[in-house]
Amino acid sequence: MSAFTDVTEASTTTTTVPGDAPLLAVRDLRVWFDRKRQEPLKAVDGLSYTVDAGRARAIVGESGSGKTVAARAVLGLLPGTSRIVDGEIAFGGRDLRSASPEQLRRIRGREIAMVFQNASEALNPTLTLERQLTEHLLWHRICSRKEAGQRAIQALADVGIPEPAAKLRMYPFQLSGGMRQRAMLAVATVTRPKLLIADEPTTAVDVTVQRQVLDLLQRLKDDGMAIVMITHDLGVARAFCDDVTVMYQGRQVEEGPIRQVIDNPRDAYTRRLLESTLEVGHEH
Amino acid sequence: MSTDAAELAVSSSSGPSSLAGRGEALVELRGLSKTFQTRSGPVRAVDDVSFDIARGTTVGLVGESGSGKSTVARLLMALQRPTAGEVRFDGQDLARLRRRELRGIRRRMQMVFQNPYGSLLPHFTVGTNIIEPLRLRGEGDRHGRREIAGRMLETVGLEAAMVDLYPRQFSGGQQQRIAVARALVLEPDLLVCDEPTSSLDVSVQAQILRLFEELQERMHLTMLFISHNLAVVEKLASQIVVMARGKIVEQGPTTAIFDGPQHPYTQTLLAAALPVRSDTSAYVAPASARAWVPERLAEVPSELREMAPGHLVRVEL
Repeated sequence: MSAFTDVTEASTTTTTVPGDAPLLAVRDLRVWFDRKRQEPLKAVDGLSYTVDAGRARAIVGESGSGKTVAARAVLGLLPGTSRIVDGEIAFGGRDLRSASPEQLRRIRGREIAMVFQNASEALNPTLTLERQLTEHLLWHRICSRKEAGQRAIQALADVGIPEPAAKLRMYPFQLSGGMRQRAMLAVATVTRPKLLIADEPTTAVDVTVQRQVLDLLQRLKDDGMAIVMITHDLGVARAFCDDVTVMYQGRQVEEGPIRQVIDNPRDAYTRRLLESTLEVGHEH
Repeated sequence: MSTDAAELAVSSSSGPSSLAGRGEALVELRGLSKTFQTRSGPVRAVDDVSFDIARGTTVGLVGESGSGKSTVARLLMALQRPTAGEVRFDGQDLARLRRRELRGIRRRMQMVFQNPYGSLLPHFTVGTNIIEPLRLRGEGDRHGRREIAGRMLETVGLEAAMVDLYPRQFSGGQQQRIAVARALVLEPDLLVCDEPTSSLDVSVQAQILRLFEELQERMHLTMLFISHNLAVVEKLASQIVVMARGKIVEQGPTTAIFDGPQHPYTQTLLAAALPVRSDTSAYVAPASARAWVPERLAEVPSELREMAPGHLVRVEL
């Protein structure tokens, strides 16, 4: 219909982004929340980052630093009281900021997917796993209903859920917390999106489940998926991500390769964050 | 008087299954079990758990969700009745106490929960929240209590002038400080903390842990500190109890557990902790640990054996 849809179709058939442009490029993003009789709250105040296919970027910072808002802005999933006042969001060469809600819907769940912190809240309690796993495939008309069922089983198997075919008929409450987290990851990745935005995907799970989830994300990354991981856990960032952006009070205070930033933090806040971080077997 | 000699005498008489090591135990859990009846059959949430908490020390209770940690805490606080076994607080078996006696004991044991906002009364001011335990017990007058609330706020690193504010006006870390202030207002002997820092940011977590360390020193608090975060218990606890599937799999001095974990489950937990400042984990689990699954605890008979003084490890029979 429009030129936009043509580009969408073209980019789904070719796996690489034209030229050397990164898959996702956010430049000088500013997101404000309007408030009554007060200055607007500058939740994100000048954030720039890029992510390439097969790479992972961590966005770290404490709660309220703007990391979740920064990630949601990419998907056009900002709360109604907020607005993007400035900046660019380019995904696969397309400008997402000027995309219409309809165009964004065609991208969400198909090319960009999101994983949330709390699987119990993010999954629909009234639908079986099958309905939730096939929803994106059917809505985006990626495949037939029959094939969608097969892909759903495969997606559950991929995230290490035993007896995936039997689990399809289950509701989220019938699964343990770790299983639910993995099922949500399966829902997000069943369409093989090019970009996965993961908001604290391991914060609510046990350490051993955390390892499993990270191994899973690693496999997806090795297959070429780009990942933006929002976390306040520097251990997770170091284990999994290539690059890191440190946010503090809406501003980007440091950015760079993860090891370089952790081993040689230049910003005072990054240093403080590192000092606060406890780790096993390390002199506290 | 030589305190060393006294400690030695107590520790040698307290037997091999004692975690106390030094000083008399404030809390003794003996063969504690709790079975819940569910629609899918009975669930043994806690299965034959025994350990001591010596006065003035902190025991770290670790394990994954569903391992029975919080049930142990509730049994210890006499909020639930054990199916078998006993909880002794200061030598008294809680199950044998009358309601009024239990009420007397309860003021000596207080709890701090994971979600500070959920555990504070939202329609009460911070001051009213803090003095609620005093009011319920009819202690002090209105004026005196208000003063105490102010003092408690200062104890936990906030300002006395904040008494008239409401919980929602505070950050998560400040709310947890308020919850700690309320737990301490009755000057308890025992503080049971159930994942008190898990919902907090790392920098705030560090502040709250520093607060607990200060309180340990200043008030000689005895604590049971429940956490799934090994780095947190390593910092605070002198003794560690590791639980899985309702059973203790390993217990002993913190240094022994962290330097030489014996049970495959402890080894897996330690190996799963992600390093921040280096590329390699502080601890790498042997191949045998990776093959072990918690289901074995239900399938294979096992018992706790003392491998070194005070260091108990569950071995399969």
